[in-house]
Amino acid sequence: MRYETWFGNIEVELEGGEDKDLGREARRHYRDYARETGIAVKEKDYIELLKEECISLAKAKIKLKAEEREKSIERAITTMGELGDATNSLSEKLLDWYGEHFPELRLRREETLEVIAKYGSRKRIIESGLDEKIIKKAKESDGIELSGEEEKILRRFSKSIKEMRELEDELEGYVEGNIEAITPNLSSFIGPTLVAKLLSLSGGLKNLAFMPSSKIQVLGAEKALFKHLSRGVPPPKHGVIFQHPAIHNSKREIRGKLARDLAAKIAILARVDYFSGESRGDLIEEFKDEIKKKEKHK
Amino acid sequence: MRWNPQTSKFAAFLIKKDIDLRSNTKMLYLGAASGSTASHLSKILADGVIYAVEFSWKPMRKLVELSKGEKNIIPLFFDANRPEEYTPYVEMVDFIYQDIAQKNQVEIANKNAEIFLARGGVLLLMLKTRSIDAVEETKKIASAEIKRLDEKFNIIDVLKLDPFYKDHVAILANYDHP
Repeated sequence: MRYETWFGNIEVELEGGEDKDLGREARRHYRDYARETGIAVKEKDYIELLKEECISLAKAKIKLKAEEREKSIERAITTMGELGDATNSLSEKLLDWYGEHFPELRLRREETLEVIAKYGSRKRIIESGLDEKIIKKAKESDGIELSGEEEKILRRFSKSIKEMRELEDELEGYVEGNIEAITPNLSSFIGPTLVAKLLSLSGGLKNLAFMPSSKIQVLGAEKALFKHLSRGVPPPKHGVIFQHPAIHNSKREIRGKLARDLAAKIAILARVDYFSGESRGDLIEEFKDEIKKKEKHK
Repeated sequence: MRWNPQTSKFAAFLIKKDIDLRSNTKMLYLGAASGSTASHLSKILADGVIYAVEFSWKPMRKLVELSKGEKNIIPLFFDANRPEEYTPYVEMVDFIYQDIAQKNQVEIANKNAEIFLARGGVLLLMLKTRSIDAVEETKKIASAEIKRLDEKFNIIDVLKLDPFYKDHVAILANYDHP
């Protein structure tokens, strides 16, 4: 009877009686069958070949799993971006609205949201234990009055925005915590935050791994790039990789060169992450040293 | 690296009980994780082989790296709950070592023994009782689980793994498949 093994199908004779289990009978003699087939003639060849086979099988499956994980992380990355845009435009709406009531309150955005959520109307701010200056401003304000209903809505609005901000932070934590598993080398080279941005711009690790470094260099500067291509203005020197400290902390004159070098190294590490997934600490150290040297020399 | 009973249940077991591990043993290791225990075993079983099954991709990645350097560790990225999926790769073995924190630990052992454990082979099952019941006494869980072991097993010994591991019981059994 036919039986499937890693070195091909074998014919197993079942002689009834002693062991009626075909599989057990076959597995008792895998090495003999392999020798007969001419696959592993020497005893130690068997293990060596089997090991090779199983390693490549495991690697392929790991890659598949990693890709599944990657999809979930990419979803989180795009959600994070959209949530950021949405909270920004919504909080602007809220601040405009509240500004009619209390135009003199000039705090930073986050603080204003906090004040609105906690107190609401000027009346309540006056009764609160807030800073003297703010209370004075509230007393002398010439903004329009808020109805109770409006106040309720604005406070609720502000609380919702705060919650969305918290969700954004949570997403960011999730992405940064998990992105290292799929891009061990890139994350250790440029940090998980920047990796997340590159992945969301490129549409995933596979795309990034197949991208020429010149494209990686200007990812996120598409507007400037197309302006260059269509109207011939100077090309952008850097896209989102500008956020890497080696670039934005360097002098303007050398930023373009550094961006080119950095993008080249990102391209290499993206390929290591995509095709092998092994941690290459040696390579990362070498690359970091090279970038550091260039920061100083030029 | 030292073989540490705090981080390897097999080492903790060997401190409590001396068993005969021949160097040509063929072992099926279920729940090999990233392979730290397997790397020690591979030295003891120098002329044997370890079929190391693991179903979580992060430790598997380490296990694959490790097996490249050890000539007798075969990494198998499979679910120990579905032994029929790795029958093409695994021959009959003399020893099943299982360290899986799942509720159906005993069922997994039964299934794998039925397929891979040779007559007279040994099962060493590290039973994590907390995976089966979070509150019940370890002793009670263990005796209930032992009853669920296939009747083809003859129990040789049942040992608690404390002080190294809380709520863990090692079950050593012999297999008597016709």
